[in-house]
Parts: sequence; C-alpha cells; structure tokens
Amino acid sequence: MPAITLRHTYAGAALEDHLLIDLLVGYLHGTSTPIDVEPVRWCRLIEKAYAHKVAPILYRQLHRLGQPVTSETITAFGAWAERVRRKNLFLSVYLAHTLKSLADENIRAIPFKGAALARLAHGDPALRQFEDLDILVDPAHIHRAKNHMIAAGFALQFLPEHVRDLPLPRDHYHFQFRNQRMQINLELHWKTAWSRRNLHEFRVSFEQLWDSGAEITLAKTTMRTLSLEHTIILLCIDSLKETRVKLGRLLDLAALIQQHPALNWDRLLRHAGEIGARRIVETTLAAVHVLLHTSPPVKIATSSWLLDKLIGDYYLDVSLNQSVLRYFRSNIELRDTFRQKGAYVLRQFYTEEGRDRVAQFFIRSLGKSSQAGGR
Amino acid sequence: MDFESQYRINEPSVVCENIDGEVVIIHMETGAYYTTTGSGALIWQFIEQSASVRQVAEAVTAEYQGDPMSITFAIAPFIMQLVDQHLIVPLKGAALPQLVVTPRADKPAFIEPKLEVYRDMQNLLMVDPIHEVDNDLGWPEVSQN
Repeated sequence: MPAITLRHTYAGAALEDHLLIDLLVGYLHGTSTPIDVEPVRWCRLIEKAYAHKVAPILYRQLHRLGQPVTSETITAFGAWAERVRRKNLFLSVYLAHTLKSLADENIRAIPFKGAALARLAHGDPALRQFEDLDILVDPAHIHRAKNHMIAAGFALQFLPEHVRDLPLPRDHYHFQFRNQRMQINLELHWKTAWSRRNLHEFRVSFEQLWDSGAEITLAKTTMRTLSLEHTIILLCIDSLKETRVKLGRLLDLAALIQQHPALNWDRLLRHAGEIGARRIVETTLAAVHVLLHTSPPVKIATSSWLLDKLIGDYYLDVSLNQSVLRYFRSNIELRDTFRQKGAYVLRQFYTEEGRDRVAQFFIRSLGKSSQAGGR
Repeated sequence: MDFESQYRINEPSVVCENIDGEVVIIHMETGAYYTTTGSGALIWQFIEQSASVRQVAEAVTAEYQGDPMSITFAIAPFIMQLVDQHLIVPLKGAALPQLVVTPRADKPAFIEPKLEVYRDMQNLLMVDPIHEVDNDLGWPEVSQN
C-alpha cells in the first residue's frame, strides 16, 4: 500500500481525525496524498465526517483519489452521497420556489446557511450537509411571511401559542415551520442569531443586509444571500455556539476565504468588533488556519492557549467536556464585552463632553463608595 | 396515445427546474418529488414548449442515434407516466411550436427516459448513516451485537 504523510498530528486525536482533516485540506488545495496508514477504520472515518457535516466532500475526495476503501463501503457511501445530492437539489428548487412566492407578496427574503452557503462557499449545493431552509425576512414583514408560509401548508412549531402573534416575540429570533406533506423544515428569521445580551447581533437594518448581500444562482434562480462578510462572521459565531459539529463550519470558512480573495477583511473585522465578536472571529479563523491550512490575508494570532484547547478538545471531539466548553464560550463573550466597554470609555475622551461625562461618573462612584465606607 | 396531443406543465401545482441535464420536479399538492434521467430532460424541455407528442418524438430522434420507432415507443410511455402523475396536463387549441433542433454529426446513443419518484422524502431528508457498525463488515452494515 502506498505511503501517506499526514500534514500534522494532534496529541490525543484518532488517526481518522487526522486523515479526515488531511483529505479536507486536499479538497481545499487540490492536493492529494495516497493513504497507507493502517489500520484506517473507514466506517469510523465516514461517521466522523458525517458528524462534522463534511461527508459529501469526504466521499468526493475518496472517490476522486481512488483510495483503498473497501468496495462495499465506497459503494454504499456513494449511494448515500447521491441521496444527499438529490435531497439538496429538491431543497434548492423548493427554496427558489418559496422565495418567488414571497416576492409575489412583496416580501423580500434573504436565504442564508444551507443551500445558499453551499453555493457561495463550494459552488455546488450537493457538497454541504443541510437539513432545512433558513430565510431572513424584514422584521416589518415577518408576520405576513409567517401567514404566507402557513397558507402554503407549513405549521408553526416549538413556539407557545401566546407569543405567536406578538410583534416580535421576545427571547426568540425565528419562526420554525414544518410542512408535513412536503416533509420540509423551514425557519423564517427576523434576526440571524439569538443572544441573551444582544451580543453578536448585526447592528444593521434588513435594508442594509439586502443592499450589501451577495448574488447567487441556485436552481436556475438568481437570489440574494447575506454578504460574504456577514456570512463569515455568522459562521464564526455559530461555530462556537455548537458543541459537536465543527469541521463543516471551518471548511465552509476556508472555502469562502479561498473562493473570495478580494474580500475586505479590515471591514469584516471592524464589523465583528462592533457586535462584540472580533475575538470569536479571530479565534475561529485561527482554527481554520491551523487545521485546514487556509488563512485570510490579515494577521491573526495563531498561538493562544484558548485556540489550542479549542482545537484539541472542541474541533477534534477529543474528550468533549460540556462545562469546559461553556467556560470557553463565556470567556470569549466576557472579553468581548470588556473590550467593547473599554472602547466605549476611550471614545468618551475624544470629546470634551465625553470627558466630562466620565469625570461625573467617577465622582458619583467615589461619592457612593465613601458613603458606603462611612456606614 | 394520440400523437397529435399537446401537454403543458401542471403549474402552479408543479414546480420544476432543469439542473445540469436533470429535471427536478416537485408536485406541491401530493408532496411527491421526481427526477428524470436519460433523455427525460430533453423530452421535458420540448413539452414545456407545448410540442405535440409527434414533434417530441421527431426532435428526440434528431438529437440521438437510434431506431426512430424504438425511440418513439420509449417516449410514449414516459409521457403517459408524466400524465398519470399529474405532472403534465392536456393542452387544447395551442399553436404548434417551432422546435429548434440542431442535428449533430456525433449524435449520442439514445438513453431511455426514466422518471424517478420519491414519495417518501423522509427517507431522503433523513439520510443518516450514523449507527453502530459491524466491525468486520464496516459501514454501512449495522452491528448485530
């Protein structure tokens, strides 16, 4: 059997983890290394790829490289990949139909994630694992859109009756629907993400998201998805919200970085900073650099203990510890919050009025503490 | 089947798109999904243009290598299947279109049109290979232990 040179190894990770990453790097960079590492547990490799939502790309790589996978396994895997391709085609056609029907009602809608992201990042909807349709709608039209979907045979799910007709239900960011006849799940969003402290929420109107959106063609239909910048920020935030699936998100990011070299990274990082997500974005991009050998043309710190732990414990799914993960997430959020507050205080010193405001704040604080001390 | 019959796509109940030579069809009322293989996409394209069955047969014969009679006998049941599935419906009184067919010197061999039906989308939407596998047989064999 021919020899393989694994590009990198990570202590504690299984051979299949390394092999999977190696094949994904091969997909991104058009390189291939024959495999001779034994014993490769092919079933385990496929399961890992599925869990990381990169199985269609793994199949493509194994098929293209003609790797020594047992014929029964590769045949069955090929049949599965074909079903994924069909399913994604159906969902793409259905998405195009839904957008047209919403447009007929004068409701502008922005598809994101799912098939739209598959097109934007990989150029082919068949190469991503996704199960539902995500559509962002102008908050002003969200209830018209909701009623339109109900008229089209969808039923609202997972939302208490008493909040369904509230203007924008608090503590929610989307309506989840299921069309039992079509067996399709669809999410209508009025925000791209939910955050308890309103962190990581794009501070732009739907109009601005629409105007800055990227045009794609899906199922022969031209549609507008989120801009590359917003998509990358959203992917980075999502990658830290999930607790299990990671490589798929990183692969999407790597593919976006590769496919769109003219991206304005300074503006992207500035946007990320404005919504308290700069550290999240930088850490996730660093993970993309370390694991998938793909970097944006901006300087990113790639040697932090946090990144190291993230890659070891998080991305490679080695000894997954939920409480530790929660700590990491809150740590990142906290630092972002402090960074935002620090930046706010600094901005106050730019103007005389601001300096007075800060001085008044400290005088009041000192007054309170001296009162407390006097008791 | 009347070879002079014309049909139209059963819109708005039917949503379809030709993607890379494969027609993806969704029947919104029955919830069934379809794809065409072989020469199905070309036949669908001619039906979209309101061609009669005879015109479809002539155009397909011009595009592919093969015995015209055999091609016609393969096309007719395919169109009947589209009718049976309510994907196309009869079109009365429409003018016959001028089909544009560019005969090529290197015509490909005729491939029978086929309509794949996916009634249970659940199977397709829940494509999930995650399960305990048999260590000896490997994925996707389910472990019997």
